[in-house]
Amino acid sequence: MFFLLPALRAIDWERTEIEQRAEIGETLPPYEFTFKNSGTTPVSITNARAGCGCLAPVIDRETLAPGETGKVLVKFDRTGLVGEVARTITITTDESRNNTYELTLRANLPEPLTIAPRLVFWKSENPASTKSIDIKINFATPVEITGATCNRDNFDLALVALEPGRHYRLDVTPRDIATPRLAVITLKTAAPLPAGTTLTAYAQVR
Amino acid sequence: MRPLLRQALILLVLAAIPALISGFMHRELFDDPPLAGDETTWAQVYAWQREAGTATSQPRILLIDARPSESHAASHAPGALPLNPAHWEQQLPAIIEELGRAAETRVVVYCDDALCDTSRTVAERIRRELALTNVFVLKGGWRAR
Repeated sequence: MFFLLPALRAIDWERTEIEQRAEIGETLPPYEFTFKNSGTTPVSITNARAGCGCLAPVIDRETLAPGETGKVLVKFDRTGLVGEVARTITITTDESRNNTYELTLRANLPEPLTIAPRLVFWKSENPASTKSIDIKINFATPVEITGATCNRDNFDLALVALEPGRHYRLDVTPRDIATPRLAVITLKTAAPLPAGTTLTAYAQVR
Repeated sequence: MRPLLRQALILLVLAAIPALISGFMHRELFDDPPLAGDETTWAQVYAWQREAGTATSQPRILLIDARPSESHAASHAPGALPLNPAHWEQQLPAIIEELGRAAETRVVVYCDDALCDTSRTVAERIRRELALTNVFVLKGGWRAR
């Protein structure tokens, strides 16, 4: 009746989930997953499938004799990723059953600036009321926001410093909501910020 | 010949009984996991598209392709717009323009397949940045169509 028992898996992972944090502007160090063949026959890793193009897994040895250990090193490209991020890698072996293992990579990637929401919109049947965008500075040192510009002239902007260098509110009011349009709002800072820092929000009449 | 056939049949039945029991005990291996709260399927998307095509009161469907830009350029679902974390700032304005074309829009995000995570990341970021609630992740992704 051995077939009623769940198949034992040969690969033992030291950890199947790793969480790392990278400060603003820092790259994530590689993730290292260590594994051991605890079975009685050699096991080969036949595939390592990443959940996105941002992961690059490298396996140091593909076939392990019983008792041998190996590791999967994963480079995680954080470009464009912010906040709490989770990614998976599916490892497949040549075991006859239960031959997939899921490795989870978690990253905590603080946003340089939190702009929420990045889109304020009005429907043409609604009143042209003022809507607010909340702006928080997450850099270690304060960043002064000196103003905001709009690429269309039919929105009024008012910047309010709630905590100078740290926390602002941008009030946006459309002058008319008769015509659908989209405007790009750009925040201006006293000092230049690292390349790639998001400084835009959107206002739209639908 | 006949006794041989009978014995073979008996052996088959004897093998089938425990196999069926084993299959029942491990039926999770055969069942598709249920949809999460924000997941949808191609069948549902096609149904929504039909509804939107016949009744203007129904939300429009906006498909978002979260795969890398080169995959999107090679092939994509009809009408799908690209939006992936690596090109977020460049691609976001086109999404916002598209959202402005209808009173209500259901956004459906897909990536490669069930093993790909990017569609969920993109859906969560759309909800957060654009303050939208009607945002779904396409279960199984592009390959499940």
